[in-house]
Amino acid sequence: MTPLALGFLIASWTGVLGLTAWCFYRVLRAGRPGGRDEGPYDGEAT
Amino acid sequence: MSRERQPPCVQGRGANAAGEAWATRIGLILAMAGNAVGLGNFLRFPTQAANNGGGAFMLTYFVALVLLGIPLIWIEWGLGRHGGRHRKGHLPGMFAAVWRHPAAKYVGVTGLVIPMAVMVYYTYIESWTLAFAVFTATRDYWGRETQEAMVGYLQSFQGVGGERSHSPFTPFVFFAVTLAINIWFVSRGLAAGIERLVRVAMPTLFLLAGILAVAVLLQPAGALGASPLLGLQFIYDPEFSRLTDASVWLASAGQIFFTLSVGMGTLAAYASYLSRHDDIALSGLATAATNETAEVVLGSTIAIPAAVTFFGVSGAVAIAQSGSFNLGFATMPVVFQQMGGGVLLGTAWFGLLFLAGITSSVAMLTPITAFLREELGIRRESAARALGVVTFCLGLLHIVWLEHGFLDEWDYWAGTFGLVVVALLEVIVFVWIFGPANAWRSIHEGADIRIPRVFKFIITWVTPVYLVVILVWWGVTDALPILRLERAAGGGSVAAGSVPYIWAARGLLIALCVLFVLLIRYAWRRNGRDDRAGLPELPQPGMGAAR
Repeated sequence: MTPLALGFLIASWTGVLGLTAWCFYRVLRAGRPGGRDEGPYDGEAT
Repeated sequence: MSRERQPPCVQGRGANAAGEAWATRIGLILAMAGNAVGLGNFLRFPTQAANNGGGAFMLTYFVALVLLGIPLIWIEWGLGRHGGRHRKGHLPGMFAAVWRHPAAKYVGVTGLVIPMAVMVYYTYIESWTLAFAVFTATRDYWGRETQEAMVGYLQSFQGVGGERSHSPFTPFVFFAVTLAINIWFVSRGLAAGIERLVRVAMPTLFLLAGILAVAVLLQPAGALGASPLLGLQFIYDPEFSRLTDASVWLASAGQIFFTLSVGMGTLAAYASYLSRHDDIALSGLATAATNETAEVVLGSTIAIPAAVTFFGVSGAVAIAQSGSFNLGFATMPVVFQQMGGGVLLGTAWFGLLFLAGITSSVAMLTPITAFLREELGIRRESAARALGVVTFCLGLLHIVWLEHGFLDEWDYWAGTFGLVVVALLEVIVFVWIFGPANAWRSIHEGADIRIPRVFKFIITWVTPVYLVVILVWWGVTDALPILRLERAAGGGSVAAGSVPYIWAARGLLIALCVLFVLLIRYAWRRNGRDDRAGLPELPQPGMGAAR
């Protein structure tokens, strides 16, 4: 594998995986105390 | 910057008063991501990357993601949640909620026709994955160890070509079963049906894709001396000269459209069940990121590296140029026959594609089910069953007339060109007519993140210009030649015997448009709507209103 292709692969994967990890970290952090995800969407509409 | 959290009792009631809501935030994100992750992530993306300059394609792909894909996701989520506030889970209603003009609801008809049309042929293709999972598990095609033999087998299943090694009823049976599974989940509703499906299907999909990626990467070099790493190089090696080629930029923009499922109104339909206190900025971004992980990391690691390992670079080039379906349904079965544990891995591959397909197809029925429930008062189960019958009848035409380009016509006009049209309409209505400031404020209501302000400019100007350029380019280079029958929608020239079927396909699409326009007209009259007065806004929970 050429260094340039490897560079593109690493940059692409790091960017995508990093963004995904950051998003889910923020989603979980924004949830209710205790990190459960049930917080914002907590039930059936009345 | 995080917003100040609202008290729990205020948050989380679905804005849509159809009696449904998402049960959990993760469930919503998985459903949205499941909608986006589809067959294209594992079949179309690697062939597009390989055919359009490798690393150069990736550069243009990420530019399109930032300037087109992510902004459109926020626009669809924002439009959907705003529509849900008016109890509208479908594009005609969402447009009417924003644009107080009698034409708004009719402009939105595209948001019913396109998901309906795409659902029909997408479910049919999805049924191929179910069939091939069964064929692999039972070793039905074992012994066909060349690409040509497997193409013949695939065509036999489809009922095209000369080979007949399947019963003529086989594709009908698998289509009926696939559709029945879809309809069952849709009829169960959001939380009990779609959300339960994605909470199992999405982790399973990622697990299967991970196993397959590792299995492919651990393969020793093939008989031609090519290794899986050479396959990755084939995808990522940049041809910088291709950056000046407009077709590469348009191919990447097209891939972003297909992969994120924007321009169908399905994201908006899902978002219509959120309240103004629910975040959409971060959840939308999380959805896009999840899809990109499935596409860029996993999608690029399975099919093309496997094809390069077993067929060499030149063989893989020919395979990539022969199209995504040949790669998935002919090349991969040949590869699995040569791999240790091929039956398990092959079943996992087609199981993965089936899960990717079904999490997308259930979303396509959501806007139409919402329309039937909200405007015509039809129960969810009845609406789902009725749509199942219609989809089955239309699907029969695709099965019977596949070789005449019937499916290709719908795929081009509804599933390719139509997506860009709908996306442009969404931007015009939500950003330009509603106003950039209102749209920006709406997207940030309840937001867990503050979107960089540069995106306000991108959403207002760059995204629509990008869409217009794509529309004009595709219009001139593809749409006009296809419309004039100078070229077939699926590529190549138009066979004289296929012309009546092509016009039948177009006529049926137009008939669907007319049918939905009449239904909208009837529904608005039935419900006594005054477009100029606007649609009544639902009382928001926690705002002192009884529901």
